[in-house]
Amino acid sequence: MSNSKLYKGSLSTIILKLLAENNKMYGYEMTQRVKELTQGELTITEGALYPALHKLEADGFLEVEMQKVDNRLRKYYKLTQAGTQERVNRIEELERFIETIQGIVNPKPSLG
Amino acid sequence: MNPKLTKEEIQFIDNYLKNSGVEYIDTRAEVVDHVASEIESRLSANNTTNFYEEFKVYMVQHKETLLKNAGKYSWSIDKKVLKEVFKNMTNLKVLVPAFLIAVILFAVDLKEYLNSTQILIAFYAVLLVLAFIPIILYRKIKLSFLRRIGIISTIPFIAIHNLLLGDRFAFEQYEMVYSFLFWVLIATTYTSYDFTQEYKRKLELL
Repeated sequence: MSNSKLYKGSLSTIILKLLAENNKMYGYEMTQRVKELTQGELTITEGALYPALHKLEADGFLEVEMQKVDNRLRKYYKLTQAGTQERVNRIEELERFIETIQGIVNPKPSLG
Repeated sequence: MNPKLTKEEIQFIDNYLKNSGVEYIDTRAEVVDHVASEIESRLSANNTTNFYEEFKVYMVQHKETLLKNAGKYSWSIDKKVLKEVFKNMTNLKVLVPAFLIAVILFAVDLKEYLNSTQILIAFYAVLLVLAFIPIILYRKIKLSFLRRIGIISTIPFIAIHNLLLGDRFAFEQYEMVYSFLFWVLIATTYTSYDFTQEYKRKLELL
């Protein structure tokens, strides 16, 4: 699953969801949280994560805060008001998508 | 608790990334933190203090994605820069000089002293110099958005200038056209200054 392309379309939704639950997070922390939540099934690579974060920031869904931590600069991401609304929309969209896929993968047996 | 890397080890990661082509400080800072966090975690997991060995193993596994990632930023930076320039167009520090320039342009009838070619050349030179101010001022500060501002403020600007002033009707309205171009350029220059000051403050944290 770690190299799967299946999650790529949902990466922004995953980021928005993580930030809604954790107030502010930095990139590496997000990768570790996802690994922990999925028991290592899902690995977010640096190559996918940072462009997605920068896109969400440019779209006005995230704001950034810099802090000095352990001899280096750390960039924390937080949801903006628009980001909070976007998260609700994207989660709904993702839930509908999962339901649709489930309908295809595990169709309910028809009574007729 | 994970062991923490020393200032020298952080500097080593920073230099390595810089020499590998992650040129801009702002984009590099985030990658340095990511690599350092992972190395700290590996040092703890492998119960070792051999930073260089862990760094070498990590880079063999991840260098390709790290460097590919560093070149992917431009559109989101452009979008951020454009939004900021647009927002700054209504900032008083931009509006006041832009308004004064507009007043001067409308008050002084340059057509009395110069022919159309001379007016074109004069404004072209002034605008071009102004457009390059951010690049000249901050050439030693390697920040990705400054490079993007440089591109945004020069190429389209020259294109608009040429397009509008190649048209006789537009030239008749040169006061209006130039007032607008100066307004945008002052906003661009102010945005470069503002972004640079903000990043300098952040980098001074180090």
